[in-house]
Amino acid sequence: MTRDLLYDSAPVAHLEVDLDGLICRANNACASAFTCTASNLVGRPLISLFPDGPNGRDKAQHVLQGLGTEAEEVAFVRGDGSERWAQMFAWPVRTSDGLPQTIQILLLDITEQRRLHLELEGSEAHFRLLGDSAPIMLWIAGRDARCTSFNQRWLEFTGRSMEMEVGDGWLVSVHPEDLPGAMAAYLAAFADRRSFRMEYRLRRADGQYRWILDTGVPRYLPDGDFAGYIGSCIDVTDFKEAHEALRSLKGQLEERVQEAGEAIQARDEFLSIASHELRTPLSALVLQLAGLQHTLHATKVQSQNAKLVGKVDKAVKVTGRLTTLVDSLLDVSRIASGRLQLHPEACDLADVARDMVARDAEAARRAGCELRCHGEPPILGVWDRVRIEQILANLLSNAMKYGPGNPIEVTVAAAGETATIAVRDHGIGISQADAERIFGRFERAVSVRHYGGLGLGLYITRQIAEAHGGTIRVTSEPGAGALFVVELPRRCEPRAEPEPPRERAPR
Amino acid sequence: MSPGRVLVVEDNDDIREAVAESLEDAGYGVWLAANGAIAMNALRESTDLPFLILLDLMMPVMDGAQFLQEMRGDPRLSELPVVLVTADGSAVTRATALGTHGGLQKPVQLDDLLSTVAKYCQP
Repeated sequence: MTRDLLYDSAPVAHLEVDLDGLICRANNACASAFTCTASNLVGRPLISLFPDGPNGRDKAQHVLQGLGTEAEEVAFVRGDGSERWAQMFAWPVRTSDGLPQTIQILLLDITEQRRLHLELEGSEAHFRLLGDSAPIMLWIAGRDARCTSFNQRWLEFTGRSMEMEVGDGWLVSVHPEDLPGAMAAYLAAFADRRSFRMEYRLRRADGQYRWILDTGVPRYLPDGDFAGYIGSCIDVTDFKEAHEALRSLKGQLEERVQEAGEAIQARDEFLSIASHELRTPLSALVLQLAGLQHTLHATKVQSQNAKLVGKVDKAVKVTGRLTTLVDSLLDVSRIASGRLQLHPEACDLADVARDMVARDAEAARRAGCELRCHGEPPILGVWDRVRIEQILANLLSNAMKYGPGNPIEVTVAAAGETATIAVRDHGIGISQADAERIFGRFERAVSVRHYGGLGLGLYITRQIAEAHGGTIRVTSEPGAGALFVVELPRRCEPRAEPEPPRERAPR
Repeated sequence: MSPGRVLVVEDNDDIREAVAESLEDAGYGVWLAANGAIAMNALRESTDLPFLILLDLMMPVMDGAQFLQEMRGDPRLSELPVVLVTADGSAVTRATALGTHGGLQKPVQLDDLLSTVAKYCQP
């Protein structure tokens, strides 16, 4: 009784078959497996439980014939007609003289395991198809960090077979210099099960080493178990070379920019020293010539002295022009080093303009320019008088230079807090494109062969205007003359300048 | 005895000579010194004093500002009129700042030089 209970409650289906192949006994598990009562099974041929065909009846026959030599996966049909799978074992029970008496059968339902297995196989095949058609190289490693699979693209790249590559085989293609580092990074990431990204050189089928960017991520089974890694590789050699070239280019560019900056600084320093050094003997010369001129004019002019006086007068004039040029250079070097300092004082702009027009009257007469000055005094303000004179001198000199034989009008005016200096000429004019750059350093709108000068006048003029907090602009058309307008706040507030370094003491 | 009317303290030989000759041509007596220290020695060793000192600011050994300080510490010299001659910023502003009688902007123009000196002495 107890044995029957044990037998019936066992979780494995058991059948006993007589030598004719008829079922003579079946337990409850058997009944539930086949969805029928045990008594329904007794007396039926065992074979009838299995459907026709190679997976069913044929396999069952095979197991019965083998008798205990092997187990097979066999398809069977349940009472409700559904097909299932079982692992089937069969062995004989023999009499004391060794003759088989009955055949014992165990059936283990493996339908679910089989389904999972098939699904897994299917997904692996799917993955392989996907991997082989991917344009990047892929690899898969198992839990032991050894590679189990590579896609077609990888094999084409290394020119080796899957058999050669799996396990540690692929490592022979890694550049010997990169191998230790790459392996260390790979194994370290593996131990922590974190993603990694590394670069190493991998030998291509043609023998050339190529830089590879290898990215690996841990992979997990649906139940969350760690299964190994999957990685993708791309050939970044071209990218790296381009990047390297770009970096070297950038380096060269920075070097050039620095060299250019140093050259500019050297030029500015030279300009500063040269203009200082030129100016000192020049001021002595001016004084000496003035003395000579004074002496000659003071003495009674005799006929043989007249020529001498004329020569000295010309020398004074030429020295004056030389002084203007050297002073321009000095101003530019001051501007370049931020040392253009204003010394504002109360003055009358109308007065300044009248003075300058009077000072240039002789030059204007020689240039054939009629010089007119408009402006009702007083136009009071606080400016650096010497620098405002310089603005007027520069604008007048340009007007005479580019518009000889034509009238020039100087107009000074004030409106509210702004005073205006306007110089109008009727000369060659400036195109709109050139108007943008004539206020730059060493710029000119015309050929240096036809018009001399350092190209500094308007640059200095703008710097002076801006140092006063003002502006300068030009309105012009080629051939239609030019109108230069300087606007100055009535009370200049000099831009904050750094404390000027003391000027170089002459040796 | 030399009149010793104007003392020119200037380190640049060309400018010093040009100023000196301009003044001499106009009839003034001129003393010359290449820096503040030489000028100070000359003043201390002389019984005669100039009517005016034309003082450059930037000079080696003893510059203009140091010279002024020494001069003002000497009761015999402290009241001497001084006119600055400088290229460093505005001569007038610097003169006001240093408490001198006036300032001449470099490069000096002959007319300015003569009219300034004429305020302190006659040839």
